[in-house]
Amino acid sequence: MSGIGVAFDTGGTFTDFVLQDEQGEIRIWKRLSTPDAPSEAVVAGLSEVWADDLSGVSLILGSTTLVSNCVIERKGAPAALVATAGHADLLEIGREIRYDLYDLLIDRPVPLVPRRWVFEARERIDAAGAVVVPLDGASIEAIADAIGRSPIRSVAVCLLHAYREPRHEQALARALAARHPGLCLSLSSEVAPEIREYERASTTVINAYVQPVIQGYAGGLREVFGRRQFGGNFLMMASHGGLVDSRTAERFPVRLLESGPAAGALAAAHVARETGRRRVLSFDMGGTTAKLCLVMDGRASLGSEAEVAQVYRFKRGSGLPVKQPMLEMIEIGAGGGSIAAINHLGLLQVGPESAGAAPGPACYALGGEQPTVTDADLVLGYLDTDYFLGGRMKLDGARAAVALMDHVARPGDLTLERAVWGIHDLVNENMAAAARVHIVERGLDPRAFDLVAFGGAGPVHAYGVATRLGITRIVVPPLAGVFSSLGLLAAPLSVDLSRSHPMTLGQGRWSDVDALFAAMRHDGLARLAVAGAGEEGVTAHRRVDMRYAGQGFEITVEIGPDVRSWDALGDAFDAVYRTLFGRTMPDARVEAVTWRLGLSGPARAVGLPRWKEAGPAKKGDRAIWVPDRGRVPVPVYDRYALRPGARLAGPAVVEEAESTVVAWGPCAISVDERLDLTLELPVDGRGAAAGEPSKKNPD
Amino acid sequence: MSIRFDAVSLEIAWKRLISIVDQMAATLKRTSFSPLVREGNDFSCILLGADASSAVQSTLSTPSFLGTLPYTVEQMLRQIPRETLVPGDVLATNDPWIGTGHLLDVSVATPIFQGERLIAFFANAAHVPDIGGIGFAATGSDVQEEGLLIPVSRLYRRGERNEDVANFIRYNVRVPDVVLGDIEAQVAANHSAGRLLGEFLAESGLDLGELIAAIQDRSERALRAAIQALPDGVYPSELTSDGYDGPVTLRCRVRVAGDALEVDFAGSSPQSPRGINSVFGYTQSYTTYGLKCVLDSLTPNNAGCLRPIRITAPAGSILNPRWPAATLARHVVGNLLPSVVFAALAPICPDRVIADSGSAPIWPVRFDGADAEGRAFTLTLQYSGGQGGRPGKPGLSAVSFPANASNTPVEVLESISPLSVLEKALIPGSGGAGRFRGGDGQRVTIRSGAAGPLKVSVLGERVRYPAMGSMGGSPGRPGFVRVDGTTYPSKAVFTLPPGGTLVLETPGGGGLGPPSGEDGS
Repeated sequence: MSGIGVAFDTGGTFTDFVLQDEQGEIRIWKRLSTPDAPSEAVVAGLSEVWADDLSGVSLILGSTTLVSNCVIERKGAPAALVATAGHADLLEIGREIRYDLYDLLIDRPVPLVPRRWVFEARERIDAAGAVVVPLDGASIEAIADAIGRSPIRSVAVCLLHAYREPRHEQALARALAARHPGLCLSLSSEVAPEIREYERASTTVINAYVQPVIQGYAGGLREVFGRRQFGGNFLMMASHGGLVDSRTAERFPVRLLESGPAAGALAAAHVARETGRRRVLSFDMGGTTAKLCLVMDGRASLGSEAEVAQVYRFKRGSGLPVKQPMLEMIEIGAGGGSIAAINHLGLLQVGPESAGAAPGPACYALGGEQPTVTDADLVLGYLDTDYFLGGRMKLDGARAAVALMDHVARPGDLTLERAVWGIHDLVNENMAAAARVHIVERGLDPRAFDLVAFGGAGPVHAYGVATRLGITRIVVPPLAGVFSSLGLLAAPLSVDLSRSHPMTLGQGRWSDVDALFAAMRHDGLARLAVAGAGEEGVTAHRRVDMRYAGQGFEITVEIGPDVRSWDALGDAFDAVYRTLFGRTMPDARVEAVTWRLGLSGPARAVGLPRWKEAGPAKKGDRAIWVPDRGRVPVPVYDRYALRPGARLAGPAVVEEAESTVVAWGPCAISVDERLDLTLELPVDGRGAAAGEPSKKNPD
Repeated sequence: MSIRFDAVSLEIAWKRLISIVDQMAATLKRTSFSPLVREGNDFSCILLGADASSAVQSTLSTPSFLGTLPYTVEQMLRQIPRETLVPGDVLATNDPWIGTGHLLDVSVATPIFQGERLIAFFANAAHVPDIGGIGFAATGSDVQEEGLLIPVSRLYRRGERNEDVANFIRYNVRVPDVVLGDIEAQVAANHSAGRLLGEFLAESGLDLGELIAAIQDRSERALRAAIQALPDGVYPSELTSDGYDGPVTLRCRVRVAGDALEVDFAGSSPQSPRGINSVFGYTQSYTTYGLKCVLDSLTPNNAGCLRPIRITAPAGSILNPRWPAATLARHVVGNLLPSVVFAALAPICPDRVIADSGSAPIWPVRFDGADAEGRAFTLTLQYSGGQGGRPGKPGLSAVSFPANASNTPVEVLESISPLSVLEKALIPGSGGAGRFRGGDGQRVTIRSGAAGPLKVSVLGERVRYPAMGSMGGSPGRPGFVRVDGTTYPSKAVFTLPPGGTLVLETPGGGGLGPPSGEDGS
């Protein structure tokens, strides 16, 4: 990267900044977010980390949780939906299935568009894309009139089979724009051109609902940057893990839904590339949630659907569906604030309910009475009462113990020691279980992965999660607190394109496939150029969604440059299908449905932080809980004093301001040139996890 | 036995088993060819102990199969003794009296071995798109007329498919590739779950039998405590529905005695000469489902939850028909059972039961014919009415209760058939009035774009007898079936001409409590 680059990450509590100067040196900064006007914190922080005058800055990169928060907190703009006549209830009806079998009192997610603002357009296109009923001008006028009488600022248009033939959506949009200049318009054929009307409408409505908010935010920032002489590129992190031009982000804000978490996974991908690790499990654990993501060959794995604003925390099916290319995040209601309790069966539960930042864990002494994961970690000796957040907050171990006794140990018939270890171990298993399902579903073995741990609680729980998954290598990068922003700086400019164009393998000409990819490449390069990337150094990844004819779900097959024929494509499909499901179906026809092309510019080099001058590395000893051994004094190290080449042995604790690396079992710890801590666990480390009844109880 | 597990270790191991059956369900859904499985979720997956008692089930499932699968495996073992099973064997059947109550679901069970020792079964049941015979209709007069019956068979023997069984199926169903492909997907799902279980046991060193016993014992205790909290006594209820040739009455008496509960269906209508009979396994399944919703909706379901409950229905009644009764449309009776149970329990736990649902039963509609290019097609769609009013809130509109099936998206069904859906909309006000209104039903208008006539079978209910109100609430609006202006009964087989239009209006749910103004308070 030439010139100065600044990345900012707008989170719920803090807005983080990382600046890389012309010498490649890193500067970090943090300030409180301004939730009512998120751009204020960004502008103020930029002045603080650099200067009011931005003329020397060539690149500004942003990630934000604004889009998901806007949906979860229902703070979007008044929005409408236009649907095909006869289908105006599609958001209310959904898929008719219940997400909990036995609970008679479940609620469905309330649509973001109230029913009175769902309008019907008289028109019809059939499954083949042919116009059956032409778009009726009178119904357009009626819709335009109704919008004129309402506070509606943004309109989603989702007509049946528009993924196949967008012309009615386009005509409608032109007509509405002519009547109401300045109205935001989101077309399903542009936002999410995929079959299944409910899911496509839901995605389009989310886009419409948040669009005015994001326009105000990104447009406002662009205006301030302009006034401050900024002449470079302003890009945003999208959910698929690529940077997009801020104007594209304004048009398709639904693509920013997982902007913040994607940045974290990208930072882990950067570590994977820099250290040559082929299989990495990115593990980000904060106060209320943990997010895991697979990174294969340096790239975070991509998915195409997710859910937002779940009615029941972390209950699949209870949220609004989203169809978009996005990094495949495994999200679990497990964090430092997750509440522990004994349920009606007398069994321990941890999360997904969270004490959040307020009142927070009992040990914060801010009024929280429920015991949390952080309380258990404190009583286990994993956290230091006097060095939490680098000593900015003092923790109250006595309050933690009381809460744990009252709410877990006594009602669960457990000793305090068994209860606290149980909480630590169960939350680790909850995260490991989710990761295990995800990895095994892809036909892979969790033991082949390295764990890259970050976030406030990630390094505290990494050893346990790794042990439960049979993982033997853990990497803890430095600067856990601003790790996501580092990911922004390291992220390549990239675009992901797709075209739904079903073809049966072996029928038709392969040259049509070449033409399809060539057209996508042309579009993609144009979009990269807008964001400031040239053609040089751009790498391409081709992927195809394929299935046996008659199946309803596709698998995504990555194809290398050597795949240049139907036969080779068929072989690639067979190989992936066999990995996933253990068999193939020799006589069935294979279809390619959606063709995908990812284009990435070169990844940028990111410098290292200037470590402050340090004193002795060892701070002292502390008794921590070691399964099968009880409370054992172990050495506690100051992370900032550890230099490349340092070697330590676990059990040990390494503290930095925003997190603590806890190795409660044997391992070799080393510090490399990048200041990463690497923990090598013994290969038979798995099963050392207490919690299994066959092992000795710690009491 | 469960002495070795505490509040931590049991929770961890239990969750792990649930994640294995959830993965099994994901595999089945992703590899299946039938829209009913892949779009409609009309299947269930389960892990059973070596004694065929259920341990854990997939989270998103249809309640009926979860109840029938343990019974199915138990009955399979009566015909194929456990001692004769070896690794690589796979058992299958669709016998209604052993399986799910009608021929259209195939149940597949795979014994799981640890070394030489049989330690568990993985089993699943899924709705296949065709089983020959009369398709999916209530018109049959015996099970032989209804379609192909696959007796309990070794579909696989030591890992090799039994081609004789496969051929019987191949030549007796209308879309053999899809049906056999789906059955293969069922086999593969069991197989993949077996591998995951093996890894879990190797890694944890646990004895599966002890773990399952601990799960069942804990669950049984929770259920008994919930029953104990109810006042002892006998609580009757009754519900009348359209039936086939005439109304069907279901009578039930719930008897609470200490920590045990009995449900007896004596006095219910005799078995029907047509295909709406609910075999006893299916009756038991939907009855226990209703009870569990009220008594303990939180405990993950397993055999322990059923131990305190005993269900009886007189032989020869519509809830326990004798061979060879016709049963294809057994859901139109079986789906009503949760409503009957709720009505009985209403006086003793009014804050936990909902009013009768217009969504009970689900409305399957099957189309057979040729598309515009003359290719044969078969498609079953399922639509839901409104749920009954609920304590503290209205019933959900157009929701699959008590069945739990997704609709097939309009865009998907139009892509795979010559049908077009002109309208799919809620019917405002169709839920019964009440302090808490019933949920609304929906109107679905489907036009045929086929070149020739289509054979259509509708299996609805509540056209003459709507969903009842509860505790002073009003009944829901009844359903309607119309073809080009002609009204049909709720169960009908007819021909839809090219360009013809079928209109379905599913019933609204009953209201709960007196509507405002009538509430004495």
